[in-house]
Amino acid sequence: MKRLTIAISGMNATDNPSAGISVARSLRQSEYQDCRIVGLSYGSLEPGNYMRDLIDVAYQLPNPTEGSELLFSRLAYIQQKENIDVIIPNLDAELNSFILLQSRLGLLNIGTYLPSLEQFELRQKCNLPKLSSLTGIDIPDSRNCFSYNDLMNLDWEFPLVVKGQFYEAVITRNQEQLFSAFNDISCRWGVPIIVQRFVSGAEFNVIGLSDGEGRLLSYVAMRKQYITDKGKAWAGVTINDENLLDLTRTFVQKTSWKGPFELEWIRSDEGKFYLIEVNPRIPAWVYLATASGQNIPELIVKLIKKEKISANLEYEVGKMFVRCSWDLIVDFSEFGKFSSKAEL
Amino acid sequence: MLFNDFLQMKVDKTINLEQDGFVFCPKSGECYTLNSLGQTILSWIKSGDTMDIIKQKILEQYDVSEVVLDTDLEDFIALCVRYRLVED
Repeated sequence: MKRLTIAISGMNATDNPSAGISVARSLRQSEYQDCRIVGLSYGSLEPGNYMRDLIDVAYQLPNPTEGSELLFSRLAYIQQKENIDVIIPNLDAELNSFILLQSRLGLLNIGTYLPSLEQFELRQKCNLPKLSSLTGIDIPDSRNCFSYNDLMNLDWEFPLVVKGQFYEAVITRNQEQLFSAFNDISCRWGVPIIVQRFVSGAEFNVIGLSDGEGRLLSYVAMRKQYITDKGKAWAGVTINDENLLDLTRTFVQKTSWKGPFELEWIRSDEGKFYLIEVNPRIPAWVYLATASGQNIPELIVKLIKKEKISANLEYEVGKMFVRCSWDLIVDFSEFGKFSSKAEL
Repeated sequence: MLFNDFLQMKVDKTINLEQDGFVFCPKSGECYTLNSLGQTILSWIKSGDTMDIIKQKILEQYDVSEVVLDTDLEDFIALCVRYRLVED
């Protein structure tokens, strides 16, 4: 079998990690374990650049805000040197460009497995009510707010959750906090700001992969055991709840989702599941799924290479991950090389 | 009166009851730690003992009055029901 070259973005591994390192780790434990892994990062301090046991070579990409043309030029340059077979992008902010570039990347013989632009838009936080109408899946009462007037017109009781359209969420307990959060988050992420009724309960995440024709190919559900101040799972355990599986199947069937995804849920104290977020990519905790028997990065490569796969939704329940911080020791010249040449 | 209510109680079949008292519910992901008596009571329920039998077993093994046992057992079972460890 030809040794594949697989490029992965999301090399950040801080307290708000991207999925890239876990994807690389999963591939190293797959039938593609000998593949050449190209790390695509956005800065010289992203830890994945220096993880030589996982990443063979690292390149810096232009910032996602610089648009798809610059990204394509950079990828074309990298392709000349690396002959990449597959790219697995792992960041929300870059996905729009990768989706737009899919066919052009195909002309460079680079395979991808991504949702359509319509699917990508449908899962935006401000479009969740539309997604709820389409799928019948419950979401917390939610309103897109563009101004103070919109906030004043809310007739809900506190607490309320204030969310940026891309990142950040704050729980507010009075009018002052609500306005303050609106100002704070809209400065960074613009409007609309999404205001949701707070649902009290345990948090669950689902990772999945589907084929674009309504078929769920892989699935693992996890309960968050420990949540950081950024709302990220620092520990979690795999669970088996039939309701979650049914809801995930519904999501996949109604949206015909293509590619990997993460669904974030809250189960209210009454036992009802509310969908609070859809991420159109592999989440950082993907290695828990791999360790439980569902190697989603491996399946993505198989799908891109048009190899046969069978939908097998079995996984080990009661498997836990605990994230850890780990200091990498790097020769400063390596940092210098990456900083000046944008590759290592 | 309480025990009549709970004569048909069953431990949720999916629950893992470990030797060291660690209880994991695979459906919800919730976990609990039981002391040795809690662990024993849950294993008795699991093996099909009715509440009357469980009560008799405890009275034989522990120096406890029936009144105190009734209260404590009621509290324990109420907790188990609340956490969905046991069901009717």
